[in-house]
Amino acid sequence: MNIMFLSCKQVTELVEKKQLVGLSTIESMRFRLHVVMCAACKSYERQSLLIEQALKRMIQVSRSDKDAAQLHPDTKLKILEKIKTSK
Amino acid sequence: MPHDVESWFHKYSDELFRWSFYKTSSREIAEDLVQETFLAAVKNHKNFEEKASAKTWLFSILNHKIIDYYRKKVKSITVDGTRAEQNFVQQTDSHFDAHQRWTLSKGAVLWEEESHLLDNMEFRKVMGSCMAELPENWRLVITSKYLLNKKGQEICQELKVTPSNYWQMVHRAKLMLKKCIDRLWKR
Ligand SMILES: [Zn+2]
Repeated sequence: MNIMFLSCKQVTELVEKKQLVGLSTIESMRFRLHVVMCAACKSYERQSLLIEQALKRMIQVSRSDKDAAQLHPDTKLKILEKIKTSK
Repeated sequence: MPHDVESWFHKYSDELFRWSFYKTSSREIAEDLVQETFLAAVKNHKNFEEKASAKTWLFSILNHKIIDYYRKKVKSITVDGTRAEQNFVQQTDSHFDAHQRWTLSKGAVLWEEESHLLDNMEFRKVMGSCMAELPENWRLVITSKYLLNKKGQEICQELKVTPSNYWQMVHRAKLMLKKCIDRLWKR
């Protein structure tokens, strides 16, 4: 492993680190140095951010899908029974 | 007294269920957590202060159960990954060659350059199928920060993992999603 140059795999890890807690000065320098020269990693960073936004959107949609969800009546009876018998 | 808890159950169980269903994305898990919540309420009934709102109290019990559920799931990834997860780790490693450079197929689609991608129904469908291909625990890791509504360090504290552990898990899951989208997204 080279001190100055990161591998693509390391860069893709740093893409996530960058989003989660940010990079140190050294990391950020190495990161930029790599991305300037590597189209695949540059495009991966944008893809990672897009996936992130898509996930967020998916979660919002899944919430509205569950707006009318109810416990199954049989499950309700079962749980009520357990409440009654546990003390 | 179980008597109170029974009437709370009639009043709040559906609302609690919807919340835990949304947080866990699984009907069965959500039902279990609701049941555990009410049983805990019976057991700890004397800790409930009459002036407090029963609904708030029940939700706080449920929220603890939800976090516990997440922690257990995330822990099971790091401690004893299942076979499916081991395969998954090998698969993401194969995205890189011996020098850790991308092994991209020649015709890789630059889907990130598409405009309005997030509003595109086809893309959302692709995203849904790709999420379904992820092992369950990894899916949970990458959705956790939105479901638990925490960012950065906070989500790591909540899940009791180190940041480096967390971003490595997210890294693997993202690589899988990327490859899957590359495969399914055709122009
Ligand atoms: Zn690269």
